[in-house]
Amino acid sequence: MKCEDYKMLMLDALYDEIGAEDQTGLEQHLGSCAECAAEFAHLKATAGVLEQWPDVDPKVNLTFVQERQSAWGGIRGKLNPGRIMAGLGIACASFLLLLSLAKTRIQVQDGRFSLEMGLFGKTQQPAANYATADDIEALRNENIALVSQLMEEYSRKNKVETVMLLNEMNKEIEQNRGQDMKLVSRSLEQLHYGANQRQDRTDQALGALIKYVNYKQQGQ
Amino acid sequence: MNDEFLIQKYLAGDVGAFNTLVWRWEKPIFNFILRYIGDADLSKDVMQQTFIRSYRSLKKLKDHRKFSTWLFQIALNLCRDELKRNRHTMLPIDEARCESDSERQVKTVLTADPREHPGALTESNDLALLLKQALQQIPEEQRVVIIMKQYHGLKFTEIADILKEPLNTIKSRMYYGLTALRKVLEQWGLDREDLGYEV
Repeated sequence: MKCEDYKMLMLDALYDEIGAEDQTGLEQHLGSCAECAAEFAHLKATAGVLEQWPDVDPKVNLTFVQERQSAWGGIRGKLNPGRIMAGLGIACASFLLLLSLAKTRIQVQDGRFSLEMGLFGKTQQPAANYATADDIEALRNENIALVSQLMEEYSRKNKVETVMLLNEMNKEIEQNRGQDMKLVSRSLEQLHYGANQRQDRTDQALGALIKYVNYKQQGQ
Repeated sequence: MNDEFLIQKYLAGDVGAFNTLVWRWEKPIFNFILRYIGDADLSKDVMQQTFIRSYRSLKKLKDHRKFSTWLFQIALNLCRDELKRNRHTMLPIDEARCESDSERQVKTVLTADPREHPGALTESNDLALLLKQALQQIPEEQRVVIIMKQYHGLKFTEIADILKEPLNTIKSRMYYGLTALRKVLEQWGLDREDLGYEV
């Protein structure tokens, strides 16, 4: 390395940014080169002089407060050209969609379904009067027949459901009655058993009492 | 609380967090500006502008870990703008040889009555004044590196990042800046007895 190269290392050493290997190399060079050693001493001295200028207090009271923003200011702050363009695009698309929906025509004719959509719609054609009085009468009769059939079905379904419900209720009542009878029977058995036991205990007590009285009479 | 945490709080709407950042950094930033442009009142104005600008544009800072270097960058840009408006405050090094205001000021300090000023430069204010004047004599690109390195302890890589210059350029400016500063002090006749250091 040349002397020029060591100048940068001198700075690193001066401000503790030098690696161990470079430090050793620099020290060896400074030990053998009087000119660089003097230069390094000058740099250290100058840096030492600069340290004698202490920091001063700015003595200012700089405090920030929350900006008060109007509603419009808040909205305006959030707007940028990109957002404005996107908003306009969405608004236009929404308008066209609404327009097309307003011009939508749904038609059911001769058992066929048709849907027409368009921004400007189609010229409305007067509907042809295909239905005759006989057709209407036939449709009315057909409707009446369908409704009658529907009501009959409904009535029949109700009857079946009612019978089924009654059967279920009857079955449930029978079950409950059987269970109640079992409970009554079990209670009566328990009462009978209890009465017998009490009678036995009374008999035993009376027998013992009779024996005791006889014993006393014999003793006298 | 570190700077990153305070920045996040501020960006979430807590202005108090930004005030904490201001109180933490106002002194280093003020002293950086003062050493760079040399005028205390002007430095206060530039410092305020620095924080106002950072308040408004902090959300644009992508890497919050670089807040301090970003702040120095703003301060430096504002200082440079200020110097463009007031070019007279910066003198080329060659002009220092003339009988400038700076030199007269230095001579006033050095030739003061020893009975009134025993030990010549024992007053720290006097030395600060001399150093302020001396720094104004060296080229701006060297001065800014010296200030950032010497007084604010920024690493050479950080300075390179702020100034957007190669690392070797920064070190070169530091080296030649210190050398130029020593020559200025020598021209003013300052020696080891005046400064208490071997110059």
